[in-house]
Amino acid sequence: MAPPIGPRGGPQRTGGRSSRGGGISKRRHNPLKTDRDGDVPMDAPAAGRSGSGPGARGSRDGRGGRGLSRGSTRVSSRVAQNLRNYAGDGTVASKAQFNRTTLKILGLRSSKVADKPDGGLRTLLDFLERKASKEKQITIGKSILDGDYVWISVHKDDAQNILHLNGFVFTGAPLTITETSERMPNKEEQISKEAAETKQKLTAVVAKRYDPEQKFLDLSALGSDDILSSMGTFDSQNLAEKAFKALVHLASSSYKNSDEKRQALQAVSLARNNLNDVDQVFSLAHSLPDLRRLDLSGNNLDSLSKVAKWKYRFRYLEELHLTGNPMVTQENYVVELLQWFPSLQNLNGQQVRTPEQVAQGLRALEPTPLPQFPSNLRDGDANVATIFLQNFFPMFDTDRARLVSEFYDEDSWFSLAAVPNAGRPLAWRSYLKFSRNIQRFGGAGRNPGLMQRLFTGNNLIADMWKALPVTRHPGMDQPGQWLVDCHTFPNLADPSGHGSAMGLIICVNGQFEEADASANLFGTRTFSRTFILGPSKPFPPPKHPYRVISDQLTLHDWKPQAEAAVQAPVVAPLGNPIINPVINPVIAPVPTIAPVVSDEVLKSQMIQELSNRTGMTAEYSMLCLSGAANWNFDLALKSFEETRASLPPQAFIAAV
Amino acid sequence: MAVTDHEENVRRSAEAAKEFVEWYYNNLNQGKPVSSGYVDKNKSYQAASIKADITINGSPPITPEEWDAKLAAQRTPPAAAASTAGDPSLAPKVHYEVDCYDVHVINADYRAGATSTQLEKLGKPGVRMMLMLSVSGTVTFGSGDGATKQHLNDTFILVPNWDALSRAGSRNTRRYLVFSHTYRAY
Repeated sequence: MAPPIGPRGGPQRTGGRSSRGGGISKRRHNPLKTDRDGDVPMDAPAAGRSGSGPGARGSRDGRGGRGLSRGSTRVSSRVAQNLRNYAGDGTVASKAQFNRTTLKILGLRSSKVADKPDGGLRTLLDFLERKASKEKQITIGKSILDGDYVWISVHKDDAQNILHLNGFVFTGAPLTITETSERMPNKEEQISKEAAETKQKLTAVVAKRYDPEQKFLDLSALGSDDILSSMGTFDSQNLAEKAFKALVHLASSSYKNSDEKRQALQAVSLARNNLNDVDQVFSLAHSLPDLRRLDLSGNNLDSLSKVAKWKYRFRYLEELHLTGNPMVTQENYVVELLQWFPSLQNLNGQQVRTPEQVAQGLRALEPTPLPQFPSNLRDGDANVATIFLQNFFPMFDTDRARLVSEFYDEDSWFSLAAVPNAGRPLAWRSYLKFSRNIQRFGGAGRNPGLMQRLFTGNNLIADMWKALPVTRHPGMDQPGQWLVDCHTFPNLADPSGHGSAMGLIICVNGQFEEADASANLFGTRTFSRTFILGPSKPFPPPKHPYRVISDQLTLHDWKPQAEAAVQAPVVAPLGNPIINPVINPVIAPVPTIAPVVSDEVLKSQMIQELSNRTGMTAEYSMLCLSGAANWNFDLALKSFEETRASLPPQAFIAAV
Repeated sequence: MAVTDHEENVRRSAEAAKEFVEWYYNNLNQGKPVSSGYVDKNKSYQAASIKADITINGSPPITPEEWDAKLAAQRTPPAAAASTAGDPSLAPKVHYEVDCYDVHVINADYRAGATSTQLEKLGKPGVRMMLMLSVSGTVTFGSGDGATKQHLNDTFILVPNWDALSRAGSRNTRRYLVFSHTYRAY
């Protein structure tokens, strides 16, 4: 009799062998459909897949499987289990059950039923349940035969009833029943030997079929593979799919990371496997998403829709072979495939796209950064933000005490947060002890750092600033060094205590040079700093009409990708003082504003500025900036000074 | 020792910031809209004609809906639209990684948009706060070899969501809403 596939069989096993649905459909049993290659018939109706769920593992799971025939059922479900383990999609979790008691029973081995296929376990369990169920029906939970002992798990209230049966004679053998606190043997552990064998065999298959030189995994004509056939892998559609999955998993999981895998495994052949839908081997798209070459020739794919499950997967697939499938006679299938596989260059040996076309197509698929605009200053007619910043940074570099006394009062808040990159905390020593990065504060509100690293009031702020390294910010008039966004907003508290007042938020992005002489640290840092300005208190008479309510400084290491040799931003090297009073260092523009649009805007601003300062025409200003100065405003100005004498009169805007 | 009002403000502001940051960037990373986190969608603020100021990379101010639309368009460039229609897991990714955030209370007695009942009910310290939150991190555009990265600096002014704060058990609504948002990624 044909073995059903585990306990899930029920609804699918509607007919005899010939119509076993998704169960077993080994073609060579059917003389009319013999496949001469011995290919795997992975083409059972999709309905069969519904049976591949957790049911397959359960035939020995205690009582659940009892109604079904044993014997080979167990074998195939065990193979299925092993395969599943290696496909990595389902381990039986053994949950601790607190209301269960575990009992150990000795005696089954010497009973008359011991030579039954299940070792007599089922008969024993029936016996125990029948004998123990006096006042109420008692059901035994999990059970397992391990060596001489039968282990059962019962509800703790029922344990006594079973223990009562200690000494009873079961088909000629006295039973010894004891309660135990030992852990029940794990089915996983019990079958691990067989599992190891299965794995070993599958590994041998993979080893035999993998060509490291070609980075090629040949999974063609699996049906004619001796090892796989001997394992009974093709006894059913379900097992064949699992075997495939396990093979792919084994082949693709031996790499440390996806990069290594991408390098080592670039081509797969699934030729001559009688596939009629790639659904049957879909997992390939998960295991090897970066595959470059794929051979599906000689299968049974009869239309484009049978490949559709892989649509838009395999983004880097360059080469695809479909020769020998009925679908290649279909019209327009090439056009569709080109859509589905953006990197496809070679289809059935024909070039269908150039590498340039591929590169262009791939680029268009990636999201791109949002366009970058220059500073957005909406600080009202008085240009408060501009004037404030022009005062602020030079004073921060030279006279912090005065800066605090002029712009901060007893209610001002200051904190800084440093975002060091992994591995180089030394360069951040001056800052980390102050860093108020709430992200790092477990339990946000309760962390003492919240208060300790918040500096409120001008006195505390002044003290704290003394501990920070010496800095030098570039001049505010240097275009390209700063990105400042600011706008006014209503509803701050009015310092008079009545009503509300307007505020100004200023977000500054820039960089500064730093010298921490005590730690021998020098370098350039990028930073963001946000200020909230509000009206000053009327008393004592303020120096300025506005004060700093809040000042948050964030320090980070950020190098625009284009400039960085390695992806990780690099901390400035030690012992290499960049702050050097003799040479005026050229600081690279912070954001290296990437999109052309904003670049043009900046450039036109620079041209205008240079023209204003030098009196040159826009045309000559542009020439000056775009030449050796390479859009460095200071260099352009310098080169203007040097060449001024030799410039023709038409270089200058005519005097009015 | 009794907790001072100042301490209560500091503590609550950090909690509000944490809650907001987690919600906001989770939504961004899952491709969900964030416009509901801005004052514009809130009835109390609508009644008071208070709208959020949103500036993206220095752009002229936009509305929360426009910001959602910009993000959606960015996630799926026109060329990739067809390939992602059926399966969001195939969508090109724009991933936000927050490295750091910090928050200050800039007005501990914020009142705009609230009814007098709400003001009375929410009279305790650490509630009626106007907050300045700055977030810094990394944005990754796309995946694999083609991915590019930018540094992100997001600054928000947050104000109370009066309705959510005055109603008990409104865990699922934003308790603080964005009144100002300045985004810079470079």
